[in-house]
Amino acid sequence: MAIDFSQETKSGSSGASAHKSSIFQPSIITGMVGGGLGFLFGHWAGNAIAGGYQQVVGSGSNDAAIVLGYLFAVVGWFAGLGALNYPLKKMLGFEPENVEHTSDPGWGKYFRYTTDHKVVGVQYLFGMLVYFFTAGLLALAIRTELLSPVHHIWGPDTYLEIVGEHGTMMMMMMTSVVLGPFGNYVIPLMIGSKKVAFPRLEAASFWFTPISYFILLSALWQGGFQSGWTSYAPLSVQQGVGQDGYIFGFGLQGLSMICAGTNIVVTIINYRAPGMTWGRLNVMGWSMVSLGFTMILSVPVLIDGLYVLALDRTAQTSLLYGPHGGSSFLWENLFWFFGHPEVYLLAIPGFGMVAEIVPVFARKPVFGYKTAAAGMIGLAILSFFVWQHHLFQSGMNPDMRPLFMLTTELISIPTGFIYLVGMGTLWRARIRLTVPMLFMLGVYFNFLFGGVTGVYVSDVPINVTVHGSFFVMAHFHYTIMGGVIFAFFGAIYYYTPLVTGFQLSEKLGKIHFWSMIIAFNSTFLPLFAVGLLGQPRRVFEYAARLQTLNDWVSISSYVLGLSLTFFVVTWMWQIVVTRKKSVRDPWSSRSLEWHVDSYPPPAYNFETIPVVVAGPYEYADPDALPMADIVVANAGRDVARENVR
Amino acid sequence: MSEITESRPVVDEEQHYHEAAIGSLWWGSRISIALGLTAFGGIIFAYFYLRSLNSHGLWDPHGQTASTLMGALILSLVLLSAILNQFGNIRLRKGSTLDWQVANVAALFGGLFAAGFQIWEMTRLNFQPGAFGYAGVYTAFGPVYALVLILSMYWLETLIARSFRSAKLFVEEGGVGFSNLPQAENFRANLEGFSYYWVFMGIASVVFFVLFYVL
Repeated sequence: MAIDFSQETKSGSSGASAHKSSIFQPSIITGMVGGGLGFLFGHWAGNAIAGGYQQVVGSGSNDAAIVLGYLFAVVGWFAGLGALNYPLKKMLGFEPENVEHTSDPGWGKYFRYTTDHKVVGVQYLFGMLVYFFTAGLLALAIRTELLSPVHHIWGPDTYLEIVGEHGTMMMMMMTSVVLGPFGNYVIPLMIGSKKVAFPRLEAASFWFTPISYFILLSALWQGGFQSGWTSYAPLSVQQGVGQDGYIFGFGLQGLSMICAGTNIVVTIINYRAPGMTWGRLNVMGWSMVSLGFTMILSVPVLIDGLYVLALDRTAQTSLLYGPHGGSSFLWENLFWFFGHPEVYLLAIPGFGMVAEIVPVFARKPVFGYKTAAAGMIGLAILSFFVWQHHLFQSGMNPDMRPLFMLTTELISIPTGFIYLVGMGTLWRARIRLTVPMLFMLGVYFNFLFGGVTGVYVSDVPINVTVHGSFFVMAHFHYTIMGGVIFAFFGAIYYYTPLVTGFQLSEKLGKIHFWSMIIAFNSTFLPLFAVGLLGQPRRVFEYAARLQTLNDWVSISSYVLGLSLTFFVVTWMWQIVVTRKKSVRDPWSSRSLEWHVDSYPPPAYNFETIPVVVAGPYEYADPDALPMADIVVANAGRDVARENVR
Repeated sequence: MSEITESRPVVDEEQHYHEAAIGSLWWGSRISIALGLTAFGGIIFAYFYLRSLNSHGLWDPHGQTASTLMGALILSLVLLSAILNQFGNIRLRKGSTLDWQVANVAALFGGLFAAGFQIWEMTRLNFQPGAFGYAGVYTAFGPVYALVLILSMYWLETLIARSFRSAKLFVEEGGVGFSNLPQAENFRANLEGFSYYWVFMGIASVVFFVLFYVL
């Protein structure tokens, strides 16, 4: 149900097509059928090809069959979704088709391969929540095991499987948690566009994620991968077939990142509305450009690493095996060349979201707009020069350590830019403490702990001391969960009126916020102490003297889980049952996305392309021009103009 | 807050999105080069890393490489394909769509044969994949190279098929090389992107040849 702010809504007036539902129409069901058949074929082919080799006969497991099964499952999945129809039509020489926007009010479109950027954004939102809550349950399983140092719920192998699955799923999901839902949904609206550059790439980027999720999760039923999310060789080469799930799941997520990154970068560069100069681009737009380029330049190297690992496991190459001319360090370098930029793939969009939302509730311009943009670009560039700090303990050339210590410390400069931009924006502001704003302030609070401890662990002496301990684990949970996940939930509260047309309760939101931030800090702050007291991560037993702290952390994690469950229940309740209609522009934002004809926005976003004449953050400036001149849909073809404040 | 007082500029929506699409093709092709650089960059890093480490003296203890003759044939076909594509582009700019089509069909077959020979090469290597460092890196490189060649030829095939299917559209305006129709401009932008990318692949192939067959 769209809430119409014009006299007459003409959603999809530019030729939107409504889908007719049919069980024969390509959808997630046909995709699953295709994926299942593809897996069976690939598995059969793998057995036919490699079943007779001594390696397979001797071990009783055939990685080639699993890998080929996954490969054909992906092909079958996309064929079943109908994603291959257009590439095949292009082979026959048909001209490029216009993107398809849908004004279909039904739910069916969310289960289909669609080129509507808003539908893809919603698909991503729910997809990422499923990812997050699955991995969150695994985190609770970890904490449950750690309630006691001696009484066990899981065996050591199972514990490591859970840890590996939790870490990999979270790290995969986090890369898309802002870009996927909000980048895809909001950025075209924010830049005043009706389209994205590569809608099919955008759709593919989402549809890689469900099959990636299923494949990764299936690893649990195949013995898991005790090598954890970093999957160092040679352990990862020696693992059972569960490791293939890691390789394929992570690889597919990598392809998703490449598709999404390419689309968002090219869209922002080429599809900005007239007058939307780089100097008027929202900070979130800058964060998405920085993110996209970082993805494009780092993710292929991860896929190379995964490919090398898969070859060692299936084709019996010895790329990661020293005695045959390879080196396990090859994996570490390829993995971390992606792995450290990945940290910024997580942080940059979170920073962008914070910088986007804070000025709205501070009613002030972004303090140091250019500094914020420079900070994000600086983060993206420097992130490629720090990866060896993950190898300080590996036996690397000691002379290289100071260099990577220095580059790692340098990265605190652009990070500091972004942090200080936020503080400057808040300085002497008349802050409205709405729920989205509380979450953004929560990001600053949490990131302070994560950021400061990050400076510590970049130093070689401290790094050597705390490496592999809960201290490092607490550090990155503060930066990632305390940063990007708080920004993610703040963004959900902020954009729910736009995406659904319904206003959320401030009271319920505040209960969620306060319970979450208290439980989060209660969970992760003690882990710094636990780590300094010597508890290693990825070990299911620990010294008895640490039980009190561990029990405190575990109980806090349950409260955190309850807080997140409270969010799901109340959020779904409000958008499905109570459905309180949102007013127009509920946060009084200047940004273009809030000035569309209806919430959710009409199929083609804007009646005509807006003409941008001012920046998005000129709050509290009585002389500021409205941001854009927007035509609002109304009766007939008369043009009504709305000056966007 | 002041109001906008000047008259609203007229935005030709069709032209705006047409130009955006052409810009997207330009950026898309350059990004595909960046992706190629980083994807092959990982393998080339593995090459130099393992070569410089020479673990247990097993980078390439007997100086074995894949067939140099086959490598030279593959490289020649890729370079020939790139040259034919460039030649076709010159002819297209002079108004001869047919010459472009003939040259690029030949370029397409050149690229496909190169991919085919690369796959064939993988089936007749004179070493086991795990025998030594070079063997592993070549085993990693070969399938990726063949796949990239096939995907590149998919791109070229779509252009060729489009030029045939849409030929009648542009006849009156002197062919797709001269026409001012948006479809023709879009086609030329797509072709320019492909050609730029294909030249990059030609240069990259020379580097691969030197690394895997000469050094």
